[in-house]
Amino acid sequence: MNDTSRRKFLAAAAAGAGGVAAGTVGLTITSADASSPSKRGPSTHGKEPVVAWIEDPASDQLVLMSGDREVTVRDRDLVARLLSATGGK
Amino acid sequence: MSSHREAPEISKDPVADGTDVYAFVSPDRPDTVTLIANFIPLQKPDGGPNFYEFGDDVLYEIHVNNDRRPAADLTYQFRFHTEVRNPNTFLYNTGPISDIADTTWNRPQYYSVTEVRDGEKRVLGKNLPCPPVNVGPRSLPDYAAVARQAKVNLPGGKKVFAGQRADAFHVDLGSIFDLGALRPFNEAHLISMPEMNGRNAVQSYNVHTIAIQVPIDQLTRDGSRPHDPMLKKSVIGVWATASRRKSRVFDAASGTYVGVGPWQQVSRLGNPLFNEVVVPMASKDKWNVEPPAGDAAYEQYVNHPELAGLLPVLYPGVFPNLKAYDKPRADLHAILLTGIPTGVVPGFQNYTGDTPADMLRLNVAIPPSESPNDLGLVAGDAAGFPNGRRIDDDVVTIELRAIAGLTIPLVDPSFTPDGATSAIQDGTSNTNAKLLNHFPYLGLPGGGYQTEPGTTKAS
Repeated sequence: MNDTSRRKFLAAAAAGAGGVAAGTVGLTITSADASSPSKRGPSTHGKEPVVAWIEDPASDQLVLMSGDREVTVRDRDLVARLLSATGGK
Repeated sequence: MSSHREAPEISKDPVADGTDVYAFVSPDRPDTVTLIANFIPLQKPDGGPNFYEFGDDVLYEIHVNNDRRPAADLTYQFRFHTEVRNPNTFLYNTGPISDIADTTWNRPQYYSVTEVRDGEKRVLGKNLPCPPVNVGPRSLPDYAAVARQAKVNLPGGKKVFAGQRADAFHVDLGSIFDLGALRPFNEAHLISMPEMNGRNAVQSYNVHTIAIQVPIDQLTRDGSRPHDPMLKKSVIGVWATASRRKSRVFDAASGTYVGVGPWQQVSRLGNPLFNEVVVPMASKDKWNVEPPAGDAAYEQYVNHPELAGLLPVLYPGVFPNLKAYDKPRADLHAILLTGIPTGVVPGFQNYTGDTPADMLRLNVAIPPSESPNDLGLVAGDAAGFPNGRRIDDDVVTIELRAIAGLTIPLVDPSFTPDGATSAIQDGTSNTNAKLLNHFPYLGLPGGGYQTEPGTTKAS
């Protein structure tokens, strides 16, 4: 992930559930749509809430959910920044 | 129960809780199959003012397999949305509802039906009306007439209905879950009590039904209507699921939950009682989120069912042959996980391949029975369970007897069932609402005003 896209993502994540979806070009490693498998990432239309899920704070893995889609991002630095932003340990 | 509140997690989410699945060749339209999935268990009819309704945030699906690999080749998806006509009243209805479009119904619910065939989606209907729930005679002076308006014809000869109905399942819950007791055999129980008739615990409750009737040639792999039961293509597998968005956030601004992310299956149902009495408690939640194709993980519980071990303990001396039988239960494995292969029951098979998967398996070439026997195939009526499942089939008795060893001789002629096996029953019969002889077959839901209080005895 380059710095530009990371900054975009962090801005969106910080906005929380009421925020704006990020343009996450280059972030997608895996994506899922339960009813029809899709390779699309989260919406780039900026109209849908985003939920970020870090199941294991010690890992490099982050799941982003938006609309009926999710993408899994692997970026330890990004996970660490989000944890720091939430005051997590 | 068949699958009412059958697992710890889904018991806390009744709107998504599948209770029963039925699949049968329609008796009045034998060129079609009727698929029914019930949800929202144990609805007390007077449970207002916020009466029961489908979840706008739930994806309900009925799946069909037709290629002998236990994955969905055809799925019917149902999505609901609810409207509030008058936001300034607490009332479900502001006057009598005589027509399904009456504006006196303050909270109408609508739905869409989408067919997914080999991955391709096609919307079959949108904004289709559900009927209101049966509030009472003042609100719905002719409930049957309003409910009939919710039967919808879809393209290609299909019919659909989604709304409240009377539960058709019958079982003595109070007795069975009190240490496996069957009231007619109370005296033989390890903790003996006087014998008595069974009590149908479900007869006064409603459910929410999704029913779709589909021409057989739209369900089979090659688009034909087979007439030879021994053909592989004559068998379809059926199961139903409910899914929710993977994450839920409570939006305090609106006071409601917001779902975000892909659909995640939270409820599954094929054969009645599979997750309820075969899968152990610690695995039930996991089972609910998995596809049938992964059921090899649960084979051990079918091959050596806990209940078969409990019966000789709970009823000492009654089941000596069952107690001594220690082979894997190939009979139950066939009935529940693969279908019955050719050569076991003369003139019949509903085998879908050797991959274990919990599905109802319906041989669509078996015509409806002219004299249905609610004990189905074990009583010689090949049009009934476990060949699919008709609404009237007494699946509790069938499965109790099967687990007690009645069906072992089908695959192991050396076994002789205990004398009591063919007498086992919970003592209930179908005392639920009268069934219809036409689609959607399930009886009208009990009315709220008509509801009578039950027991409050604590001892």
